[in-house]
Amino acid sequence: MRPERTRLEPDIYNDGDSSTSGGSDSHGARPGASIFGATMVLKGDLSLAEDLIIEGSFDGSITQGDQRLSIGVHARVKANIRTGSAIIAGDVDGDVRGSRTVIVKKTARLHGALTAERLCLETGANLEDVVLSGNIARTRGAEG
Amino acid sequence: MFRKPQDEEAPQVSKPPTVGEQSAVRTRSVSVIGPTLVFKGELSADEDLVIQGTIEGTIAHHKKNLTVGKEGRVKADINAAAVVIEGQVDGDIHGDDYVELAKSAVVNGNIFSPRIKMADGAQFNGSINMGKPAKLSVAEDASRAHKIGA
Repeated sequence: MRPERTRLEPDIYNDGDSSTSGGSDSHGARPGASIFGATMVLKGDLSLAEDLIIEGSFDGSITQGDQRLSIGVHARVKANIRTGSAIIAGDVDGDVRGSRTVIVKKTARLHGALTAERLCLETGANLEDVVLSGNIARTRGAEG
Repeated sequence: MFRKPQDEEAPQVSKPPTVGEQSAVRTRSVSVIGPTLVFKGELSADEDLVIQGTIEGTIAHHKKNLTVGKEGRVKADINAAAVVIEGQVDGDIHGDDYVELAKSAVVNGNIFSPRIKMADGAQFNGSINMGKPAKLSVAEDASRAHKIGA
């Protein structure tokens, strides 16, 4: 069975403003988002100005505008990342800089510096030598 | 009472994804390179892929289908099962099943495929190699013509 795609969560990204979430499709990304499936392997430099979902493997650098990035549970990313908002559920080795909110799910493995305006860490996330800077929001794993 | 199986008519070769088909991504596992995306490097995949952005480097994409959308710009050699080009490709295209150029296609490179379809208006600069010649009745006539000539 294919793993479910990590949902982008517009309610969190938009700080309660759901007006921009109307255009989302079934996997939560806005129409026009780029999607790298589980079997995709990319090595190189990437820049884009639209939402991105990574479920495969990426090695290089990612430069994104203030759009949204989702790194799936089974994704392996070795890159320095500049993004708007991000949900990290997979394996990331590199520095992540988000201009808005970055959510680290409990399934994530992270190694590098994580900088964002707002950081949200789930209980259980594996953080190795991670330098955090930003406002820590409520830990989502503790909500239930 | 006795229903015929519905899936008998399923085609053997799956159709390449068309641009704008992203909504079916969960069921058909189509990867999408969006229009604002610029990537330089190596790309490989084992699933259908739609390219609407810019790719420079190499694309290794065996056994699956690849579509370069109208806004797609590819500077790379392409290897895939079925290839549909609506945008611009600078590089050789290898299609194990077929290669199709839409009327908006601009291709500078060679095409290697057993089946090729080109729409009126497509721009193509390069050579075509269809591999082994197909066994047609024309070949028999040609051999007979050769005997008569001899």
